[in-house]
Amino acid sequence: MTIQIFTGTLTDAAGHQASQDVAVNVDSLAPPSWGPKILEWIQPLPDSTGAIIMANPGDWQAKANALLPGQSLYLTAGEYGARGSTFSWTRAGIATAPITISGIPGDPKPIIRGKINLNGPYQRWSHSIFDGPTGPTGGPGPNGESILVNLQGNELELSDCEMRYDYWHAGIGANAAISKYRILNCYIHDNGGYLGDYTDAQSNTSHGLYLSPSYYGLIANCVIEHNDAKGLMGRHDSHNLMIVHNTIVANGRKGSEAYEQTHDWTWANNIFLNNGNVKGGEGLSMAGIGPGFLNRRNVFWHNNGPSLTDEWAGVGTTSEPLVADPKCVRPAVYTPHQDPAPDWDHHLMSTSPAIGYGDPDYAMPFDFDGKPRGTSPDCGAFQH
Amino acid sequence: MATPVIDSITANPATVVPGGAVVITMVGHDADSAPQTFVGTLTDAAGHQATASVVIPVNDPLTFGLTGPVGAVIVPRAGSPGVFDCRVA
Repeated sequence: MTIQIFTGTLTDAAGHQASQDVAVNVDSLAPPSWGPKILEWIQPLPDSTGAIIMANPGDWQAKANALLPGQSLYLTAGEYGARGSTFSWTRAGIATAPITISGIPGDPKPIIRGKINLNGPYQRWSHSIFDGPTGPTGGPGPNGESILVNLQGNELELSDCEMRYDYWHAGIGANAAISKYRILNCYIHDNGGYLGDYTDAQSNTSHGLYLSPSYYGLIANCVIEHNDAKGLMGRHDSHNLMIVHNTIVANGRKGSEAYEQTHDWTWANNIFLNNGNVKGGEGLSMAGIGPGFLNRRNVFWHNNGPSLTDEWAGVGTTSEPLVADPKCVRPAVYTPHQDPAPDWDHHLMSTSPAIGYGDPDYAMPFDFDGKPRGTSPDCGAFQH
Repeated sequence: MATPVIDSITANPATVVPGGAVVITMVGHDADSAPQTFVGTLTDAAGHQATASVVIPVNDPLTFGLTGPVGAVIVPRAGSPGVFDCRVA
C-alpha cells in the first residue's frame, strides 16, 4: 500500500492562503468501494461481526428483539411468521455494530410470511424471501392486506432478498420520514393487485417499491420486475435517492417515477425495459418538482405503449442515455396478473450495448450475483 | 486581513485501488468574517413600535484549490466550491 498526499488551499481576496493535507491510501488489494458519487449521499453499513445466534420458526422473533449490537441472527431454511401476522423488529444496533437477521449464507433462503416492520436504527436483513400476500394485517387494502416490508427507521439495509406477491401497495415501503436506507441485490417482483389481479383498482397505485417520505436511500443491483403499476415509485418529499445498476423491467405503468415534492434523485447505470407497455407510461418519469433529478447513462428500450417512444420524461437533466435493446437473455414482458413462476433471465448477452456503458462514478463494486464489476461497469443488475 | 481557516479536508473513500476515484471535500471560512446586523422598525401613529433584525454575513471571497501527486487527476466540481472529483495516480 502507498499513500498519496493531496494538498488543499484556501485563499482570500488579499492573497492570504491556508493549506492542509489529506492522505489517500492506495492499495491494489483494497476492496472496491461504492462509486464516489454514491458515497456523497450514503455510506455502506458496516458488517455485524459479533456473535451468531441460531433461530428457528418458534423462537426467532424473541431472539431478534434481544440482539446486542454487532450480533447476527441466522434463520435456518424454513417458513417463518404467518399470513395475518405482523412482526416489528424494534431492537437497535449502533453505527459501528449493526444487528443482522439473515438466512444462513449458502443455504436456501428462509421464507418470511406476514407483514414485517424494520424500526431501526442500524438493522440489516439479508438472504431471505418475503412472500406475500400479507393476509389481514390492518390494511389499507381489502381483507387488511398491506405492504410486505416496511422501512420505518433510520440506517437500514435490505440485501440479497426477494419480495414477491404482495396484494396491496408494494413489496417494499419506506415512509415515516426515515433516512439512510440501502436496498441492495434484491429481486422485487410480482407485487400489487388484490388477488394478484393487475386490472383492479390498484392498477396505478401498487408498486414494487413505494417510497414515501424518506431520504438518502440507495437502491442498487436490484431486479425490479413485473409489478402491477410502477417498479419504483416515490412521492411526497422523498429526496436524495440514488438508484443505480437496477434492471427495471415489465412493470405495468412505469419503470420508475419521482412525483409531487420529490427532488434530488439520481438514476444511473440502470436498464429500463418493457415498462408501461399496457397501461401507458415512461420508463423513467421525473415528474416531481425537483430540482436535482439526474438521468445518467441509463439504457432504455421498449418503454411506454403503444407508440413505444417515451422512454423518459420530466424536469431532470438527462445525460448520455442509450436507447437500444439491452439484449437480455430472456426479458420479462408484462401480463395483467402476478406470475406464479417467473422464468425470465436478465443477464446480458455478449452483444449487449449495456456492456461497459455504466458510469464508474455511480458504480457498485459487485453485481447481483456478486461478480466484480471492475473499472468498466455494465448497466443493469448483471455484469456480463 | 487574517489568513482564512480550513475547517476540514476529507477524502472519500479513504482507501482506493490504483487509479481509483476519490472525492476530496474541503470546508473553510473567512477568519475576518464580520456579520452585520440591521434592525428594522415599524411605528404606528401612537408611537407603538415593532422591531426585527436581520444578520448579513460579510466575508472575503474565498477560493478553494487542490494539488496532488504527479499523475493524479483533479477536477473541481462545478457549482460545489471545495469539492473535487479526483483519481489517484
